[in-house]
Amino acid sequence: MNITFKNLTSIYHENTPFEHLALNNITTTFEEGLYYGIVGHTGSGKSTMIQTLNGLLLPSLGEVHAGNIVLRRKSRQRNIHQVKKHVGMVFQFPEHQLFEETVLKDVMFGPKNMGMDQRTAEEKARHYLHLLNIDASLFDTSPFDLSGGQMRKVAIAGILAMEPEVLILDEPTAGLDPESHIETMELFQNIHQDMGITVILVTHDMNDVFQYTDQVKILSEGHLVKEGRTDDLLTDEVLLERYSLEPPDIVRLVHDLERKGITFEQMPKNVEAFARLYEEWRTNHAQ
Amino acid sequence: MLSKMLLGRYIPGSSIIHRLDPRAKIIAVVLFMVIVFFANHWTGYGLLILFILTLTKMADLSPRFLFNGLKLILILLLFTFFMHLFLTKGGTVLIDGGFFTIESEGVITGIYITIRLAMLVLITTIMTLTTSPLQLTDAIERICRPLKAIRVPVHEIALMMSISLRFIPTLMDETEKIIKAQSARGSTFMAGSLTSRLQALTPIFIPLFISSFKRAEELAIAMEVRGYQGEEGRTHYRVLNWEFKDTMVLILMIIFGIILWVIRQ
Repeated sequence: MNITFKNLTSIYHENTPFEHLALNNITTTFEEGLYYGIVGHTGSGKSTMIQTLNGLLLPSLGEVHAGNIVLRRKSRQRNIHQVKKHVGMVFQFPEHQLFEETVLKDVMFGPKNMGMDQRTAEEKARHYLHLLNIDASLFDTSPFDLSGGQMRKVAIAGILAMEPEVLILDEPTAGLDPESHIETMELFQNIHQDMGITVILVTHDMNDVFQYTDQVKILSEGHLVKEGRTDDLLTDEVLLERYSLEPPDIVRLVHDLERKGITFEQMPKNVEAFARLYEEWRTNHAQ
Repeated sequence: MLSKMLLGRYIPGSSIIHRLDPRAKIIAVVLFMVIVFFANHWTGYGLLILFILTLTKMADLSPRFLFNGLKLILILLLFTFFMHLFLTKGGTVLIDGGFFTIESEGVITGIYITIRLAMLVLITTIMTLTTSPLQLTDAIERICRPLKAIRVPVHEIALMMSISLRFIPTLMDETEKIIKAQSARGSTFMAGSLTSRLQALTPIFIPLFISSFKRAEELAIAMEVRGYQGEEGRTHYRVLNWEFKDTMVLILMIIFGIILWVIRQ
């Protein structure tokens, strides 16, 4: 399912002294099956953009096309509900949304709201809890007895169990230790590859954006200032500098090495790839 | 939805009203609340409305913004109006609908009482819009200080007030976030029958309670590690300054009250 913004403008607190233009005349498309990253400085409109993507916020002007459904300034609840069914959203600190008596019931909350019957919902819940490595012995315990990391996984399972076609991630790794960070990002990567789900990642972590995404959209003060392939945009240090964004660590390292005369044939995406390329370079130069 | 809440919200500004001593503002509001009840006919109510409009102008608030806040209590206003309309008897009968009658006295009292209520709400709204919550609690603490003689824990009460006021916006943000998170999971509390709407509140309130308790505990710990132990030996960071203009405000308020009293019928 493609999602398209047509001349979308979003204004907060319209007609009050707190009026604020969050998104300014944005036209862009999120194509099916790709992994997108949205980057930008704090207050650039990232949150507004993703909330508009799944109908939590309606545009002040312009349209959002999600598949066949069109959302406008005054869309009906039913249409909005339809969009939420297809576009799942993992908020920052998703563990704060847990409320049910048991883990299983909490994961079933979303699917049931989307009209699945009890049995299908439970099947889905079990399936996704397994996928996220939550032990079956925990299914009937209270979600509030779990550790922070497990709570987050349960909350993520709650979104996945709704089987969305598009998955939006808002700072999914905030507050996680490095190990869980990698684990979580790998998990989303697998979901993206195995199930062909479109993923839209919003984060300040440029390393994650560089390593996992295919396409990047750069926002600055409510404007969509640049979009294109991750490999092109995030390796352009001058461009990133202009929008006060940090280049990914690896890009910086490789560019620094280039200045010292060590050039690689391609840009490595993560530490392992870098190690391999460096090894190759050493063997080539040892001779 | 929540963004429209105007109650207790402060709009920073530098108008004369903003710069008054908060104590003067509180006392003036209390005086005004008494004065409102002096009015008993059209001229009096007209003067009250004029007074509020002047105040709004002086405080640099847009009247439309202020009346948006009034919408919140619209139901209460309408309720009061209709109660008087149907239940107050006297004067000439305007409409006789068989089992009910609407009489002229009812219409007039209805309008009067509604104006009174609206005035009371508007003056307090103007006060909270132009005074930061911290200033307000400081002022209340100062005004209530004499009560300490009869062992009222004035400082603690003021602290509780400022903590609660401080956390209203935080709680609002939190609520909005949770509402969003749950509605992204397909929870619908804007549609459906009353029971299903009420049921849809559980997924919002439970996370909200949990995070509030956590936050309260964190705050308590944070205060303890900073060595907080009540009022003893504390000085104030913000010092209130009573100036000539503050005295003037109270004098003007009293003169306004006298005028309304004199034109009473």
